[in-house]
Amino acid sequence: MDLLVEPFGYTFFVRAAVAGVLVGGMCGALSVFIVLRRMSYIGHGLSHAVVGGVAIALALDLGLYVGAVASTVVAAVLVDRVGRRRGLHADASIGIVTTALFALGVLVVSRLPVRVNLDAMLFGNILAVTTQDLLVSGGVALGLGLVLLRWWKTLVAVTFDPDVSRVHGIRTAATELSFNLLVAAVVVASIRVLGVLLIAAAVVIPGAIGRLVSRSIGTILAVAVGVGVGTAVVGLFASFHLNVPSGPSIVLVGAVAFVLTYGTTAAVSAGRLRQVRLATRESTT
Amino acid sequence: MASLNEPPAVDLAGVVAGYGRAAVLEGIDLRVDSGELVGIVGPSGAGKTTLLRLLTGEAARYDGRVRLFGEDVTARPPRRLGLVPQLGSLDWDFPLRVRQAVLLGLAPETGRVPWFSRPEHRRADAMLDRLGILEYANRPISDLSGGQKQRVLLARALVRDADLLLLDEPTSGVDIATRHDVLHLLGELNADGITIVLTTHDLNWVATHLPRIVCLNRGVVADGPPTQVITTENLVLTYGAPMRVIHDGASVVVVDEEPLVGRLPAAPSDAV
Ligand SMILES: Nc1ncnc2c1ncn2[C@@H]1O[C@H](COP(=O)(O)OP(=O)(O)OP(=O)(O)O)[C@@H](O)[C@H]1O
Ligand SMILES: [Mg+2]
Repeated sequence: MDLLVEPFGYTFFVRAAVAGVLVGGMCGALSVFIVLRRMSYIGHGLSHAVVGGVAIALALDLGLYVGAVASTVVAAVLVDRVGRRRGLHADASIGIVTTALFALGVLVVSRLPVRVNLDAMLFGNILAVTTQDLLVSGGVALGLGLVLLRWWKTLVAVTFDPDVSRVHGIRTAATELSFNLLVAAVVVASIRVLGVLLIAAAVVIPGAIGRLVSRSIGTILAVAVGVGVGTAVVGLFASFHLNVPSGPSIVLVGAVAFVLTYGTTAAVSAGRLRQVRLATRESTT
Repeated sequence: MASLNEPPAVDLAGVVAGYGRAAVLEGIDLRVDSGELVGIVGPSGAGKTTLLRLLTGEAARYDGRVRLFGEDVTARPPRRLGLVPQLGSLDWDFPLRVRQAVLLGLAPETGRVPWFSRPEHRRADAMLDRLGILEYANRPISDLSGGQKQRVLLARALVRDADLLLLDEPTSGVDIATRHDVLHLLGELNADGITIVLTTHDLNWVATHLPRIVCLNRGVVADGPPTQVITTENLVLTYGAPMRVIHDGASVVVVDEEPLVGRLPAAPSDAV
């Protein structure tokens, strides 16, 4: 019991727990669409773009968030533009745009005397969650929640069938761009807890687990948000007690959850098949 | 069926269109009145899909006039349009139930809450019932047969009270019985006043069942009822290959000019 209560004696952990729940829930919600749209590397790409933006912002003496927001917005818009070109899919545009921004950031860092704590940025650091981070996460979570409530049906329609949605009168292009911008916002809000290198998994695993257990998109969303929040909380406790960075522990918890779900669902369907076979055999003999 | 002062459902005049390179369609004049059922036939690459895309605003028009219900087609297609894409163009593993997939047809006009209202559910169910797939309403769309999937797409287009239905090859990839069902269904919908434009590869199927067909090959080669349009000359012009046309009472049947085997080199006699 102490193991669960003790961390809350520290203000930083309380802050981290709040941030973790927000970030886990947001990433979980987005992961549903990210998995269905087959753009699993968007998280990976956008978070790398953030590194570029942050480095440049530090060099210009602007705030961290200014750089992060600017670079992800630029990346999201460019990814959207490039991906619209016939023959290029989201994966190619993500690969080109975001890696280029990352490279730009690395160049800036190497030329200018800025000190960036790269470790914290790459792997996440719950010790470093500030009140400002919390406000950003809270704001983005609120925004995402409102958008999902208001445009849920539109998002589902566009994800399932963009062409027909457009012909039927939905503003598909605007919806897709808005979605990419939302992902950008969530990535920025998640970097402190998850770290650049690990966001990719956080915006894929919950949606993937949801798909394993349900074939109805609403249920998948609920499962994914639950998994996102759950893995974040469990991962944070592990991070605290084992004294490891929060990003890897959250992602590993998610990966274990995925493996368990995968195994269980496989076993369940194998069991069902066996029963049907038995029943068939009995009825024929 | 169309009243005199009502503008035609589809009105193309002198249309040249393509995809930003050389024109795919040239000199297209085509008028479809409200309440008509028209099939577009032509060889692969003739521009059938492009013609539909022109109506939905997806293909670029270089010249001419494209109007639906009297209004120029712009980036924003008219409210009265329902589109049924080819089955293969969609991800059928998408986690949707049949009823949900149909309800998505209402997404552009629905309220701001994340769920569909009761009246909307009733509309969807009425359409599912009408198309004979109400019993599958709660099934995942991945579990459907080709014909059932076709009906889901039809229901999604119709649930929004579309007056004009565009279908790209609604009968490809389904068996003969389903093809017959789909055709029958389209006939019924048409009898209810819905204007239908579809494309197809199946000359005989179209020829024997639709009231009007348009032979397309870059331009309109022939246009009218099948008994008049399907002639050896028109088919040569459309397909560039000789075909024999057999008239049998009110219907027509198209067969290859020569049996296919006759054109193949004779098989060695000891071959199995
Ligand atoms: N998106 C595109 N960009 C450029 N050219 C295209 C595009 N789509 C089709 N075309 C060209 O336009 C021509 C007509 O194509 P279209 O798809 O309209 O033919 P179709 O009659 O529907 O053929 P099919 O029976 O095989 O479906 C073809 O020569 C094709 O190469
Ligand atoms: Mg086609």
